[in-house]
Amino acid sequence: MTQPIISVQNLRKNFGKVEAVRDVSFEVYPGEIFGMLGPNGAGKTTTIRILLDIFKADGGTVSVLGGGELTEEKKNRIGYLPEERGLYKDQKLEPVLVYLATLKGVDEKTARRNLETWLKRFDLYDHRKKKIQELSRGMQQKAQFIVTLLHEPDLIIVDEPFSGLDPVNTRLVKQVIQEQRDAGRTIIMSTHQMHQVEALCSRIVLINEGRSVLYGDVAVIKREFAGHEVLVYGEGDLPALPGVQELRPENGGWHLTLEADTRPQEILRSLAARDDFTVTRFEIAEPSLDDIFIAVVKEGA
Amino acid sequence: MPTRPQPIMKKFWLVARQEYRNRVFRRSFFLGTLVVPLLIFILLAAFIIVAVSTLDTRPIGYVDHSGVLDGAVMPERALNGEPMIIKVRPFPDEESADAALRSEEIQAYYVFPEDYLENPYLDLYYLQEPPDALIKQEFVAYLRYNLLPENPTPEQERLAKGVRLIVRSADGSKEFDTQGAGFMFIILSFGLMMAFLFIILNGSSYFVEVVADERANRTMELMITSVSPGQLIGGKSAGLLAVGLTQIVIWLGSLVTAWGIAGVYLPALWSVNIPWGMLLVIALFFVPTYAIVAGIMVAIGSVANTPQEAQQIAGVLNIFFTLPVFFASLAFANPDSPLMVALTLWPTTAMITIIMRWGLTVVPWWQIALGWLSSLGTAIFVVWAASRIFRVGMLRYGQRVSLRAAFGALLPK
Repeated sequence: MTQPIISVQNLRKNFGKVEAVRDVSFEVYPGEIFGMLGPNGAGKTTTIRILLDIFKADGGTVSVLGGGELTEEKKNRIGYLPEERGLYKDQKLEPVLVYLATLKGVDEKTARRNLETWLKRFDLYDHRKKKIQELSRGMQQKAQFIVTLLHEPDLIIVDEPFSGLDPVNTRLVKQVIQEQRDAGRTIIMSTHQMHQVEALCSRIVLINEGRSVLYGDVAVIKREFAGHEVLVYGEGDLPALPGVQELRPENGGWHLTLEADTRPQEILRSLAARDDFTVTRFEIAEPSLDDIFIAVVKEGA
Repeated sequence: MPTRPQPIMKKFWLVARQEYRNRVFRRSFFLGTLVVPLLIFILLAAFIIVAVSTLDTRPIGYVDHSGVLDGAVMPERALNGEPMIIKVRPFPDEESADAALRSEEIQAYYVFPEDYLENPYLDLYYLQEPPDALIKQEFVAYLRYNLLPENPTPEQERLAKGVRLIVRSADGSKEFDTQGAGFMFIILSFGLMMAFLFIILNGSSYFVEVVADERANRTMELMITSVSPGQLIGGKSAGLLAVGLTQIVIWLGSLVTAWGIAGVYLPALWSVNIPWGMLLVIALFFVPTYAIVAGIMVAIGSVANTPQEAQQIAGVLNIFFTLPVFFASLAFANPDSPLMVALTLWPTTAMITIIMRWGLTVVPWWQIALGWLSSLGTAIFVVWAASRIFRVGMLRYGQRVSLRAAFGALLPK
């Protein structure tokens, strides 16, 4: 059985009287893209900072890259894109990126060589002699993303990686993340963009008010939350049906939210028995992660 | 790409090198560093111009009614050992000397009364300005040379050289010689005091920026995941120390060069002995004093909201380092006063006070030892406290850390 690259058990962290993290547990396995979700102030960033040894936990256990102290060598194997972006504004782009790569154990010559590739990929090569403050916000974001990857880390932690990017660059970043995963690297992604989580992540943890309230495989979670939503496509006007709580048009069909004691098969039988409506397609609707997120957070509230 | 394990200190030096490069290769550094040598050379040029161009080298005349200078000859060298720069002309009477003065053949003339040997006073006649002190010394050299008989005794030669006053401390470690460096040593010690004060104040400005810049640029989180707080702050401090030392080397080089050139016109400058004792004391005190500055300024940078606010706070706290300057006149009057001793023992003022007092008195070794111990102990505490406060404030971008939170970081949990 594959050992997790990160293991967090019953993590706890207080800042004075504020319980930022109360009870968070999850594991991350090598070579996956793991999503860390949660509303603002849930404790995601604090959890990440504990993983990176910026903060010390007040309780629980944390194991990163084999456990024990986060040594210099382990730090060199981690790439981190913080939510609060920042580079040295009054310095030039190329020397700053090279410098930050050398702090991760890469020699200067290698860093320069690989930087050229990344700068060209992100369309920053012509701007390498400019000061950071002369670049647009989007360019600075891309520059910081390059910093995360330049030393080819084994573990990549990105906090809101798509923030501030236009659709073209968002797609590029998404591609790069997938390439990193395909290369065998592990990625932890913290974001509010649920459609990106659905597209990229295999497993997630949802943190709410300092606790992990949802954890596991994305597909399994979606199936668990399915069952009381159906999608119906057909010819004719959809009649009112007993046991349906809510009905709304969706993508040329109808999205039905059923009452708790109503099974989808009953709805299908009712529709099949009618002459004024011909069913062309009937499926159990899987809720979006967005819906699941809202439902769980609201329930928690 | 596999990364090899790095020696622990390598990141420290990477940070130090980056900090050094960022500071030194800036226009502001060049301007700030070159301004001082430029000032030195401007002053030197002004000194040389004044010394050379305005010196009146016309002959000095004399009328000798006493006969002491009968058969007088020109000496080859003046009292300072340099070749004579003026000629001396005898006149038979005041009328002829006065005529030569008014026709500007001579710049002034002395009159020896008949009873000069009993009453050794001369009258000096000139038109607008008396002769320069250097010119008067040349005439004195002429007079003494011609007063000596042939084959003078050592005592007579000694008399010709004039009065030499030597004031020596009781332990023999310090000496003031009127024919040697004399007051130059005091100037040197005060000059060194101001130089090191400038370095400390300059360094404090840089140290405040060390943390404040990281917070303003929001790079702290990125840096802390690559290097430890000790490597970050220590590396930056080492880089700044190197910047300060670069300035010292440039300024010292300029000063030594200027000193050598000025010595041609003022030979007393060349007789200044290098104060090895004072330099040793400076070397002992410099690192702990600089560490105190670094610690205090890092702590300020960690709690202030913006770099500008940090600089303002630092400006106020710099008084604790500049205090001796305000009492410089007291140091001249009484360098061993209780206040001077207190400033010698106080950690933030110890180094500067000792340098200032060194030119004026013999600083007791026990005061130096206690001052150094207090500096060292304070440096250790301040650096420790700064690292604790730094951890509290490092990620609070755009926020001010309260004094309560800052002091709370120092308490055991």
